[in-house]
Amino acid sequence: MTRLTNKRAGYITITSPKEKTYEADTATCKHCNRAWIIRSTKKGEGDPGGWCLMCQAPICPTCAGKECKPFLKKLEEIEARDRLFAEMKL
Amino acid sequence: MARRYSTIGSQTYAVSDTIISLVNAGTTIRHILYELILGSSTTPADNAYNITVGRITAAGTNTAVVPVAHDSSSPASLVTGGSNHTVEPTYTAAAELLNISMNQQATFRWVVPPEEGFMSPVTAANGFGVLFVGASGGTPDFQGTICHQE
Repeated sequence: MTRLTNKRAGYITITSPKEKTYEADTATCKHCNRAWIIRSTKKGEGDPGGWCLMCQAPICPTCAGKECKPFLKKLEEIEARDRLFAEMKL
Repeated sequence: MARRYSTIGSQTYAVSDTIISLVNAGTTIRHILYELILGSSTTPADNAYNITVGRITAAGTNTAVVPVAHDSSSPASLVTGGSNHTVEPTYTAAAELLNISMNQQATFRWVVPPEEGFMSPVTAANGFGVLFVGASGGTPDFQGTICHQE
């Protein structure tokens, strides 16, 4: 399979003694950090997802059409909450 | 410069059992999971398995595995690996990062450039786990290798 030219794309291979090697290109969502298959050697599989104009990056089909909240921002919120809980000794 | 490590783990199939996990040992660094390789060393049989990668918020009980540095001059990893879990880690609900369905006889590999990998928060005992979701049958041993950057 021809790889996507996007150097940031991920790559899946499943090799099996019984079947032809399965290959797929994946992308990582900038909003939820999930990886999803953009296209593969299996006919009809894959979803291009969406594109966030704020992040200028691909987003998964689940996050497409929703507000822009970068995953790094969510991580910072999780970390801030954990620091607060630690200070409160909870 | 970012440092990269490999961690190896295994588990005999049971529903919801974790094959391999990675959790922060402290609160100093984020780690990024960027490669996963899975396969079974058990006598080949024609069974299908569904496996997923989830986010861990509390480490369970397991056999500790020390991540091995790709560059031998790197310091020890700040992340703890876990194999052969006897008490399952706590997973974040509905935060599945990657889902795989594969035959027991197959070998699976997923890899991304490290900056595009799965990121953990800088929180103790937070990280990632690779676990079984279901199977068509059989109880084979699965082996996994995960690579991370920190």
